[in-house]
Amino acid sequence: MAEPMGFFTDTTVCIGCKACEVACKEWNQLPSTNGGANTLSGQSYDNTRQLDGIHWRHVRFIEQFDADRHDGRWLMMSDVCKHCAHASDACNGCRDCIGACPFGVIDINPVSGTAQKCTLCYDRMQVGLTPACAKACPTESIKFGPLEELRRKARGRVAQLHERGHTAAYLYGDDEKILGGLNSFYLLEDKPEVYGLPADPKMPSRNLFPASMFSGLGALMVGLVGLLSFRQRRMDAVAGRDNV
Amino acid sequence: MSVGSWALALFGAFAFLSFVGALGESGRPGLAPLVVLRRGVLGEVITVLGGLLGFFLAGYTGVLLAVTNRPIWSDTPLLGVLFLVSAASISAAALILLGLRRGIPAYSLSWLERIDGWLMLLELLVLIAFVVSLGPVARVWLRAWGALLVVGVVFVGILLPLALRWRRWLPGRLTAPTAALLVLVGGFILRVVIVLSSESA
Amino acid sequence: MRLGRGAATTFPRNLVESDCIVIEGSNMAECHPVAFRWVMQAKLKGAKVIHVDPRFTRTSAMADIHAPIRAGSDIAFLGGLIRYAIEHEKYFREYVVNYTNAATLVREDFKDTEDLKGVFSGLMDYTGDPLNGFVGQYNPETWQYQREADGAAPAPAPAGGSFESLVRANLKPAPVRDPTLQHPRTVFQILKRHFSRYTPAMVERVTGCPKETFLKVAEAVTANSGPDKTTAFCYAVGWTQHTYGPQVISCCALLQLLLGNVGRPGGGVLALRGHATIQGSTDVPTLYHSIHGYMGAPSILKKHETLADYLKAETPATSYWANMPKFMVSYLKSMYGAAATRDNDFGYAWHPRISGDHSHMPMMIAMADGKVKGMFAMGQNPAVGGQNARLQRRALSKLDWLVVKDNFETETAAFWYNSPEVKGGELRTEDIRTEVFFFPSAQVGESDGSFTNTQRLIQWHHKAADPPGDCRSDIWFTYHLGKRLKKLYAPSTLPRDEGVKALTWDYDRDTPPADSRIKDEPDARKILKEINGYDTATGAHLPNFAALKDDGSTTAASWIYCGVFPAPDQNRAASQNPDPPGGVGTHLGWGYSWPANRRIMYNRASARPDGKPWSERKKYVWWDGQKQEWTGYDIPDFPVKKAPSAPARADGIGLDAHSGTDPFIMKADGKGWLFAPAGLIDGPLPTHYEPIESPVQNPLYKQQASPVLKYWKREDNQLAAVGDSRYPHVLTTYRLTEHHLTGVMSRWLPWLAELQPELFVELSPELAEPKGINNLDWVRISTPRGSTRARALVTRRMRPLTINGETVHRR
Repeated sequence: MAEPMGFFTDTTVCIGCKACEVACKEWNQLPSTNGGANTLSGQSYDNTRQLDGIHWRHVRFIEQFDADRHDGRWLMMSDVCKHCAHASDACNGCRDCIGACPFGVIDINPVSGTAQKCTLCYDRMQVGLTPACAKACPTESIKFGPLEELRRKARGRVAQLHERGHTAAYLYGDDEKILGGLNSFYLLEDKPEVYGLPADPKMPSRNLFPASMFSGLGALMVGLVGLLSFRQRRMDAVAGRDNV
Repeated sequence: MSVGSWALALFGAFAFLSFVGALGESGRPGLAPLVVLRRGVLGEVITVLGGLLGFFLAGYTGVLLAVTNRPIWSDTPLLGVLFLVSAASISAAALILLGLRRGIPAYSLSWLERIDGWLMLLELLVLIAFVVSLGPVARVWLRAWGALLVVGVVFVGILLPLALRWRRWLPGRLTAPTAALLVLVGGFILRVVIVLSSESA
Repeated sequence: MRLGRGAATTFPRNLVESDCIVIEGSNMAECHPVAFRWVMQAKLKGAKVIHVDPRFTRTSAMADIHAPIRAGSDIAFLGGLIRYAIEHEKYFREYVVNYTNAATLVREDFKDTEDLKGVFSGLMDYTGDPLNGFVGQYNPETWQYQREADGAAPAPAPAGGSFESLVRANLKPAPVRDPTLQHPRTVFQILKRHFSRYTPAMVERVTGCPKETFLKVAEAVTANSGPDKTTAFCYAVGWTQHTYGPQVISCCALLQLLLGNVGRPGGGVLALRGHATIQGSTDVPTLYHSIHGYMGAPSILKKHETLADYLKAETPATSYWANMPKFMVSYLKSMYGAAATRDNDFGYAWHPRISGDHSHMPMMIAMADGKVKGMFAMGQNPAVGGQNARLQRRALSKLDWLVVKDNFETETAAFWYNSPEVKGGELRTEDIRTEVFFFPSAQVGESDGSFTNTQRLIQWHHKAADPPGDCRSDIWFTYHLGKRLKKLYAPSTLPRDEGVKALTWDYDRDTPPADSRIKDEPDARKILKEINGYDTATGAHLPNFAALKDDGSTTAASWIYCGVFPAPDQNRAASQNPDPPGGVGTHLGWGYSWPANRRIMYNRASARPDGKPWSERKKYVWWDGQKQEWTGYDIPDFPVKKAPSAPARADGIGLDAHSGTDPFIMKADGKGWLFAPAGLIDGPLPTHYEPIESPVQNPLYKQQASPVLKYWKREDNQLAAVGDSRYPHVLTTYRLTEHHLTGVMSRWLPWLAELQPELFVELSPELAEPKGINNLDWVRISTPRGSTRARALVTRRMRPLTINGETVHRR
C-alpha cells in the first residue's frame, strides 16, 4: 500500500454513540476499565475520560449552553491517535513515547504491560479491511482512506458548511502546519482546546538539542566558578599555613 | 535514547570505584592498596571522568523532563541547566554540612561557602531566564505554586542564605549550617514546584 | 388507524429523500443510531432536521432546531401544526381532497370536543370487567359517516367464493361527500373547528415550547411539504408509552395526510422499533387482541360464536380486508391442519377467545391478586422494565411457577432473593412460594431464524455456531414445550382439549444436523413455510396472498407474510441482492418486506390522481399509459392493472368498491382518515389531554385527562393528584445508546457497562442548586408507587419550562 492512509473525523456528524470505542476494543481485545466496573465521571456522557493504553478511541462530549438556553450545542468528537506523519516507528519498550507524545495518546495497557495505542487496525488493513472504528461508525463521522482523497472530501465538507452559514467549521491537522502533518485529522467547529486538542502542539523532542547545549553551558559555568574558586582556595590554603 | 541509562550506569561504576578507593584511605589494615583508585594517575582519571559523568547526570534529568510532553517541562530548553546549576549549589551546601561534622579547616569552609554563593547567584539568573523562557505558560505560576517558588526557592533557598553569609547575623557557628540547610530546602522545593505544578497546569 | 396498517409507512433508508425530518417522541440518534445514519445523510444533502423533545439529547445535538416540550404534550404541539397548516392554507389541497376523507360528511348527531367541553359524543360509564381498567367508554355510533339515504345495499351478486355473500351483506351505502370542503359537517370543517384553539400561544402555554421556536418548526414543516417536497416524521416509545399513545401517532398521521406526505418518497410516519423483531412480534403476534396478520382475536365479548359470525362481524365489505375470509380460513388451516374442515368451521371453535384486556398491565394486576398461576418471561424483564415495577415484582411472588428464558439471570428471575422488596424486608425469601425455572438462552448467531425490523423487512439470520452448554434457541424451547404439551393432552377426551390435540406441530428436521451437537433443533425453514402458507393438497408453497382461498385448499399462518417463501429454494428473507450504487435505494432484492415486498406503503399516493408523478423530484410509483399498469421504483401498493380513471363500483366488494384514485386500499372508503369513524376507542380526532399524572390543569379543556384511559385503582397503584406538592417535577425515563432496554443484554458486557456504569438522573442547575444538589451527588427519586436512588448529573441540557404560567422542572 504505497498511498498514505489515515482517518478524517467529521465531528459535525458524530452522534456520540461510542460504537467506535466498542468496535475498537472488540477487535483489538482491549480490557475494560476495572473489569467493566467503572464509575460515573459526571462529565456529560464521557465515562471513558481519556485516550490511553486500553482506550484507543475516546468520544469527547462538550456541552456549551447559555444560562438562558438561548444558544446551546452539544459537541461530540471521536478522538484517536493523530498518527503524526513524522513519528518514530520503532519501539524498544522504553516507554519514553508515553511522555513524548504531544497529544497524550499513549499509555500502558495493564494487561500487556506495554505502551499501546491505535494501530489503525494494522491486521485488518493487511487484508484490505477498514479499521474497526470506521467500519462501525453509523454516520460516517469517522472516514478511513487515502489521505489525499480524505483531504479533498474534508475541504469540500468545510466549504459546504460555510455555505450553509456554519462559518466556524475548519480542519485541524489536514496540512503540514501541525507537526508536519497528521494522518488523522478533524473537522472542528470551535477552538481545538475545546475538544481537548492542543492549539499548537510541538514535539517535545525539539528541546533535546537546545536543552543539552544549555546544560553543557551551565556545566562549563559551574566548572569555571569551581576553577576560579580553586585558585582562591589555594591562595587561602597558603595563607592559612602561614598563619599557623 | 539510552544515553542516559548508560551514563547513569557508568556514573554508578565510577562512584563505586571512588568508594572503594576511599575505603583504602580509611587506613584499615589490608585495604591500603586500594588507595590507588584515589591517588595517582588512575585516581585522577577516575575522579575526572566520574565528575564529568556527574555533570551529565545533573543536567540529564532536566533534559529528560524537557522532552516529556507536559506543560512547563516541554515549554523551555532551560530545565536542564537550571537543574544542573541548582544541583551544584546543593552539592556545595551538602559538603558544607558534611564538612562541619568532620571539622574541616576554616579556609575550606569559606571556600565552599564562596563557591556556593557564586552558584546561587548563577542559579538565580538561570531561574529568571527559565521563567522568562516559559512565556505565557508561566501564567500557571500566578497561583499557589508560583508563591511557593518565590518564597521557598528564591527567598528561602537563595536570598536568605546569601544574606546570612554576607551579614553574619547569627552567632558564628550557626551561620554556615543554617545557610547550607536553607539551600537544601530551597533545592528540594524547586524540584517539587517544577514536578508538581506541571500536574496542575 | 388512519392509514390502514399498523406499521411504519416507509423505511429508514428512504429518509435520505426527505427535505425535512421531524423526530418527536424519539431519541433517534441515541436509540436507533444505525437508522439515524440516513437522517445524517439527508442532512448532508441539505435536509432540515427537527427534534421535538423534552430533553436536549444526542438527537437534539444533530438537529437544526430543537423544540423543547413538556413530556406528554405532543398532541398540543402536533395540533398546533395542524391548525397552522389549515389556517395558513398550507395543506396539500389536491392530495387532501382526493386521497383523504376530508370531503366526507359525518353524521348530524356527532358532537366534537368543542361542543362538549373536551369530550366527544357517545361517552358513557364503563360497565365491563374492572380488570380491563377503563375509566369510561365511548359508543362510536355518532362518529359514523353520513351515507346516501337511498343507497340501500344492492342485491347479492352471484356467489363466487364461499363467503362472498356474507361479505356482500355487509355492504353499506356510499358516504356523502362535498369535494368543495365547504359543508360544515365535512371532515375538513370539523377538523378546522376542532383544532382552532391550538394557536401558537396555546402551544406555548401547554407544551412550554417558546412560540418562536414552534413557528420555526411550523414554517419548516409546511415549507418542506407539497408536490415537490416531503417531510417525514419519526417516533418511538416517547409517543406510544402514553395513556393516549395511539392518539399521538394518529395525530401525526393526520398531519402527514393534510400535508400530503403519506405514500411518497421522503415522507411518511416512521415507527422506530426499539427491540429486535418487535415488528415481527405484532405481525405473527404475541399481542392478545389480534391474531396473525392483524385480524381481530376471536372474543367472547363480541358476536363471534361461529366462523360465519366472526367473519360477519369482522369483515368490511369494501377494501382489501374484504378478503378476510380467505386469510382467516387459511390461518385456521395452518393452525389445525387436516383436522380443520368446512364441516367443523375449520376448527374455529377450538381457537382460544379473549374475554377482555389480557395485555401486560391487567395480567400483572391479576397476578398480584393471585389469579395467575404461572408465567413465561422470554426476552422480557418486567422486574426492571415494567411500569410500577414494585407492583410487578410483588405480583411475581404470587405465582406458583415462573419460567425465565434469557441470556443472563435477569432481575425477574432473581426477584425472590435479589429484589429491592426482599432486600428491604418487605418480602421474605422463605415466604415466597414461586418456583422459578431459569433456562439459558442461545444468542442470535446460534440459531437459524428471522427478524422483522422497523421497516417490516423480514431478514433471515443463519446459525454460525452451537450455543454453549444447555443454552437453546427460542424456537427449540417453544417447539419442544409444545410437543410435550401435546403428549400430555393426547389421552384427554375433554372437548376443550381438542384444539391442542389438533394443533399442527411438526417442525422436526428431516435429517438431524451433521454439524451440530443439538440434534433436535427444529427446522426454522419449516416454520417459515407454515407462516408463508402452502397448497394443502400438494404442499406447494404459495407465491403471494392473492393465492389464498377460503375453501380450505390453502394455509397461511400470517397472510401478510405470504410470498416470503414462494418456493422451497427461494427464501426471500435470506435474499441479499442490493441495488447497484447510485440506485433509488429501495433495494427490492434485499430481504422481503411485507406486504408483497412493498417498501413504501400506500405508494399510489406518490402519483397524482391522473397517475403522473406529483413532480419529477418526488417520482416514485406512477401509471404507465403504454403498458396500462402501475410501475416505478417500488412494488405498487395498488392493483397493478387498475387505471387511475377506473370508477368505483357501487355494488362492488373488496377493491372493486374503490376507484383508481383511492390509495388507501385497506380502508373501507380507500381514503386516508383525517377523521376516524372506527378503530379508535378514545375518539375520532386527537385531543390534548393531560397525562394521568400532571403538575398542571389542562389549559385546553375542562376535561383534565382522557375520559376513557385505563387505570387500575388500587392501594399499590397510587397516582399523584394534579398539583400535589410532594410530586412537583416531571420525570422522564429513557434509554441510552450504551445500554439496551432494561440492560439485560448490555449491563453484563464490560465493554458496554464501562461506558455508562451507573444509574443517573439528569437535572437542570435551576432545579439542582436550590436543593443543594451537586453533580454526582446521590439523590432519591420518588413517585407515589416507588422510589430509587441515582447519581445526579447536573446539566444545562435540561431546562425548566414555563407551563401555563408556572415553572415546571423536568428530570
